[in-house]
Amino acid sequence: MNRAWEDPNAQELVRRAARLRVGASASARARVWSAIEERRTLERDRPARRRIGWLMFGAGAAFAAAIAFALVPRSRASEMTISASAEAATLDLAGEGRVVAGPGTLARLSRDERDHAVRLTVEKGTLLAHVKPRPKSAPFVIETPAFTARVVGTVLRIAAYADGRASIVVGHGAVLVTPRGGSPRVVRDGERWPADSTDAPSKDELSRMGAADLEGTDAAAFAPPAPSLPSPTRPIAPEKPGCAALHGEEAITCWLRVADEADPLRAETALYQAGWIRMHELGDAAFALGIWERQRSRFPQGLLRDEAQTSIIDALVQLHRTRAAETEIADYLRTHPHGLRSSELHFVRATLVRANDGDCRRARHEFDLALAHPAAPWASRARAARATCQ
Amino acid sequence: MLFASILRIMPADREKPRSQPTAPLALEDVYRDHFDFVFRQAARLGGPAIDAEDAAQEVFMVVARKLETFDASSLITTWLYGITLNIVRAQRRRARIRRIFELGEEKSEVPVRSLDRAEVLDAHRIAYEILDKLAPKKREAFILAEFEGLSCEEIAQLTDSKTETVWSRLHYARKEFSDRLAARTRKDPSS
Repeated sequence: MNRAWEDPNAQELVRRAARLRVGASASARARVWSAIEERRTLERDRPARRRIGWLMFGAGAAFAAAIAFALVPRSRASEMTISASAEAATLDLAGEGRVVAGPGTLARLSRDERDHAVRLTVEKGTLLAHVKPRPKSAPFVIETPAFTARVVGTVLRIAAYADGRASIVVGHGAVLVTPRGGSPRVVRDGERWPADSTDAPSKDELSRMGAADLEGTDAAAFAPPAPSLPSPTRPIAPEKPGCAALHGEEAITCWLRVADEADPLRAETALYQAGWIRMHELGDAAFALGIWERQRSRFPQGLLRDEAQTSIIDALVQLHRTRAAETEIADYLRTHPHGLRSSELHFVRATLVRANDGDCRRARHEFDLALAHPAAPWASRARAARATCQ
Repeated sequence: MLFASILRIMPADREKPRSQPTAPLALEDVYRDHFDFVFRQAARLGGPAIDAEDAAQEVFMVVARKLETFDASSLITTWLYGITLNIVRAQRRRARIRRIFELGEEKSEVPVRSLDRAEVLDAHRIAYEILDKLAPKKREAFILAEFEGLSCEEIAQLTDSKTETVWSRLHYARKEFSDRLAARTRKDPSS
């Protein structure tokens, strides 16, 4: 930016004014989304009430905010996103079952039109699912960062966390679970994987699913085993509320203090938070990079190590340290060839290769790998960039 | 979002053919990836006169209705910025009309927690009082450059304008801002 503006008074005024934080809080994000969903439901219901009516009635869920898989426009029928913000949401799979997505859940549901196999990819959050009996040739496959489960007909619950951990509890029937890098195993009614996980559906989820869809399964079937010892599958403990209420420099100082004093898990989370605020609220990628590098060297095997690494890549890209970013990306992709962020990182690498080396052959290959998720937010760009890179 | 950072260094996407087939975008994805961007632009462009949360909600309602028509011939941020700008302009217009008819009913003061924050709020108020007198396009260029720290190339991409045009708008916006601030200081040396 040209700094030819020669008015120190005006510059000082603007510098001060720009310090007023205008970022959105997580609660604002959830509040706005909830209002949008409400307004969209109203708008959707108005013209299509007659069409949707019979289906809602048939599902016995007149009050549920259900979206019928069959009602999704044909062009999108092969893939849809399940996103529940502040409240749980119920999804009717139009004869194939029913899913209750817990608050904050993000998942993708896709159907292969050739063999009718259904794939549910859970990125984060919880899903209580009733999958109706299906032919073996058209399985219902659930993918999480930690495992893949093949379902033929069952009631189960999945929990996936942002750091890549995930668990499954089976309430009825049986599921074939294949952990990443492990051998397949059958998980039957009342069992769970990993065995020491303590995840269980809430009362709200069970009531939203409804007795008819639980096939006689009750809360006891999902109850965690006693005694509950601390296990690696437990969600990260809530952070010190004091820091979360602060902003900018104050928040960073607070989180860094927590990082010096707290137990390892909280300390790691605190460092990650401090870096995030530095980067996204204060726009200081260089300082953020320093914090995340400190986090990584202090917690090389920490639960948030992948988050730290992708954040480091983000900061390096913003700082135009492209060679260092490429090295980090290569490291991430070597250890997580099919990780949740892999296709996004292929897109980033493709763009770096194209911009810095002009190597279209390699860039096109990377764009192809990025397009493994054809509906991802970067997919249209990847297609366009690939087409113009000759 | 990591991929959002890389978009800054992508070669001009405006070269893309308009007929390029693209995957349909889901509202949830656009919201997840761009809510912060929309909220921030709404807050910056609207200033203290509007509620950024309301504006962001209106923007995504428009996005929900028009997402299918987005053909990826421009950056999605450019498209979102255009919608945000229209919503913010409408809300500022309504706020101005309300002020006229409600005879000076002021927005409630943001609680001041420290002297430093009071200074920041004061500077913010004065800056926006001056900015509100600038022509809309000069005002936008000024806010994006001075508050958001964007380069002229980035502003040009966001506003779908030529870089030279942005340079020119910014140059005149800075000049006018300086002149108005000087005039204000002469009139009221304590401000």
